[in-house]
Amino acid sequence: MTEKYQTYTLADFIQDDAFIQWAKSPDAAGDAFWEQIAALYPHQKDVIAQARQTVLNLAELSRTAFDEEEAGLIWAQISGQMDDAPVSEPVFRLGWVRYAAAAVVVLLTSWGIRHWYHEPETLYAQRTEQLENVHEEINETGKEKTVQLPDGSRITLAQGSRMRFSGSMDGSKREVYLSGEAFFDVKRNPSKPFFVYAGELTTRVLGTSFTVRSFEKENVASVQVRTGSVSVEARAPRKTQSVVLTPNQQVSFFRKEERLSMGLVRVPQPVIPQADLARFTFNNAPVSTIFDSLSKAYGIEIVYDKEAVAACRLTSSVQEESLFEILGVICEAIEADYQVTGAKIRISDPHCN
Amino acid sequence: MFPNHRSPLKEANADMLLWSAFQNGDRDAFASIYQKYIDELLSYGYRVTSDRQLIRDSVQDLFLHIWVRRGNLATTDSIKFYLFRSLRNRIIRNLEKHPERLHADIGLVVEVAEESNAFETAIFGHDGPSDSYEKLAEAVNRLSPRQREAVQLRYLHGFSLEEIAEMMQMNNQSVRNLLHRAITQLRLLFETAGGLLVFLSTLQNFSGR
Repeated sequence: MTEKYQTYTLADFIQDDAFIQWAKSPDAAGDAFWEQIAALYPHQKDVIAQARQTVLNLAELSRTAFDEEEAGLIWAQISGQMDDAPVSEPVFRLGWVRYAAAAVVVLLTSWGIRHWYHEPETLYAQRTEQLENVHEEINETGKEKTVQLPDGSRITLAQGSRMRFSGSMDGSKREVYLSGEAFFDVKRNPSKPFFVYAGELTTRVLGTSFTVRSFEKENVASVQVRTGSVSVEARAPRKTQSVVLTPNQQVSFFRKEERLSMGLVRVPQPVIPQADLARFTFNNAPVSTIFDSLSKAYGIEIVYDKEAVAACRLTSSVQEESLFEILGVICEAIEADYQVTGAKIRISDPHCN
Repeated sequence: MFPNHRSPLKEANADMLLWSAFQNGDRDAFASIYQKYIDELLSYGYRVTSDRQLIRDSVQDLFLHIWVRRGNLATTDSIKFYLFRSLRNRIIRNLEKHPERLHADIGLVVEVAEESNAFETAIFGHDGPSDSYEKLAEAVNRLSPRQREAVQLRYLHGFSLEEIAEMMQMNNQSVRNLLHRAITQLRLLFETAGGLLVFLSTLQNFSGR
């Protein structure tokens, strides 16, 4: 295997992978190997030495000069924008089991409401003191506690959480007040809308399943829609805002800023049956067709430039991947990027040959 | 997903740790990646275009992009390869968006003639620089843009033929030919005038170990 080196010219050496690697970053093993070659073929010793220096010369000669301050200037720009950049919601690889479990629970129920909330104790108490026939559930058991409401809905309270509701629930609407964290499985009843009061956020179910999350210390409360539509009102000291959400959309409320911001859930779920999605197979299909199919399957608007993607075709099928994983693969293939802007996904212009 | 980089195992492991810390949102890891590779990336950027603003924009886009999409990026055992390939693609994309920026020195987008007649004059001309290292430098400068790019990727940045092929969107054999032609053009210089100077400085390094 070392015989070829016997007749190597300088040009041969400097085109040899192992040789370049050793010349650029010599290590003990490389030194030993090339010294052995030089000992075996003494006439090559000078050639090896010259070749080694030639590799280093070529490295230096092909280096391009640039302003030394450049790296610092560019970094200043980058670090200044790191926090402003619209973050495309990352796919949390380790979290999929939890989301998958949640999705299953939601799919099995006609209504599912997941509700975490840490409402200030005072607001919670103030709102519920007028309630007649008030029931309060407090969970100090150290584990989850399931409560059955008079209308048949089930609420699972997390440790350290409490909720109040009017015991009869015989008004024109069903209302629940929550402080803490809870999972809602709400029985469908279109004639009696279901309301969740969570701090500034009031969530009204129009015929759907959805998730409410709020971590007080993070200054952000959010509502995420699984199916159907939901209206959310944010009532804050300076202004009241409202928004209607459709599947896979999410609204975040920033408490200090009193700002509502639309986005997408972290792991969008298909609005068509999972089995139908699994049958998606694209055989040398125009990328526009794939984007449009995904858009329908997830009920999410996908924005792209029709002309720019005209040349892009892909063969692909959908298995277990999440929407963002699928888009990641497609974008990798067509050398484009996707970005979540508001409740839409934008695809940058691809680079297809 | 990416071809194995030939960097030593330790380096590859360090890269993977750094990359995974960065993917988990570690700002220090992100800054380390920038610090570690920015000089090489800029040197490469200036090899493929002389448009300073274009390079700035592309580097900035690239790093903001990977920061924002950190959770969705593939795990990579060669950050360096990933960054180089992405930077090159980004520069091309930005160039296509701003065709007015397309300078004559770009060998990226259009396939240019690889053979350089000017080379003969560099070696045999009477007015060339007398110092042999400078002669080599001048000859390197007379390579075609694509040859110079490939030479830099190969010898300065230490990429394999396969990696260069993927970056430059050519097949392996074309890269091999491209580099072979470049070496052939330069060979006279290594073996004649350049040899002596090169040889002297190497003796210490090589036999002194």
